[in-house]
This record gives sequence, structure tokens and C-alpha cells, in this order.
Amino acid sequence: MTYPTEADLEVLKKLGLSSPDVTTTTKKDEE
Amino acid sequence: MAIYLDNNVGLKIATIDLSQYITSITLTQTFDEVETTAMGATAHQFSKGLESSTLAVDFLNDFAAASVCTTLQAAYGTSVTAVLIPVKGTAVSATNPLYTVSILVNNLTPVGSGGPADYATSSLSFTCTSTVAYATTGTF
Repeated sequence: MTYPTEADLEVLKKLGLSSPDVTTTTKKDEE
Repeated sequence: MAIYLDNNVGLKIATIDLSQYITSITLTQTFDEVETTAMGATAHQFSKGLESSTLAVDFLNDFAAASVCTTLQAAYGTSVTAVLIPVKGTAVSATNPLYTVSILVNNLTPVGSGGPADYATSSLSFTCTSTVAYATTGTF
């Protein structure tokens, strides 16, 4: 799944943070 | 890594690291069992249905900026990303995998629980709204 999502970024915006403290990564399910 | 002491689990919600406020955390992976029993069967038959995992976390409440209460309040009513690692500070690997999942933040206890002699805490259980992604590479 792609991370961070739009919802994650919206939370950061509400918190007054401009960018997440992680780099954007893509992880795949290993089902 | 062999067995490990459960005192350094990492948790990020919406990219905010809340690890230092966790006193207990459990990610329960499960999926629905859909009955597929048909004529001729001598026992119930089940097949895998939709994934239905949950994330239960006990937090120490803190209203500081970008802390537990403010982060969860900002996420309240939405599905945000939770990232978990068994041993924070240790590289992601096959023996320290990374779990990533969307959780619906649909319950909060911002005032917390506890009595006069206790620190305020929140015991929350979030329903997962995605499959749990398991990765052996990447960063927390």
C-alpha cells in the first residue's frame, strides 16, 4: 500500500506539520 | 533475532511516531470464514473471506502538539495509516518485519481513564480498513 495517504497528509495539515517524518514508500502485500 | 522483549514496539499513526506513549499494543490479523458447505459434505467447509483485522492500543494521554491526543483527534472519523515494527530502532528485515495497515479512527477517550492516583490513559481498538501489508524491507 502507498504511504502516506491523502488522509495521513490531511492529519499532518491539521497538526500544522508540513511534511511527514518519513519518506514516501510503497509496500506490497505478500499474501 | 530470536525471542525478544516486548518493550520497544514502534507505532506510527498518520506518520506521527507515538511509540513513546504506548503501554500495550496488539495487531490481530484475521479474515472472515465464509461457509461453503455443500450437499455431500460431512463437515462444515469454510473459505477465506474478507480480511477483518484489528489494532488495539493502550496509550498514555498527552495533549502536546503532534502527540497522542492531538494526532488521534485530527484523525478522528477518517482512515489513516498505521505502521508497526516489533523492535523500533532495528532495521526492517525478515526477523523484524514492518506491518502497514489503514485503521478507521472511530473511537477516542480523550479525557482518558484512571483515578486520582493514575496517569490518564486511553484503551482503544481500531478496525482495520485494508489488508495488513507485511514487508521485510523498507524503513519504519
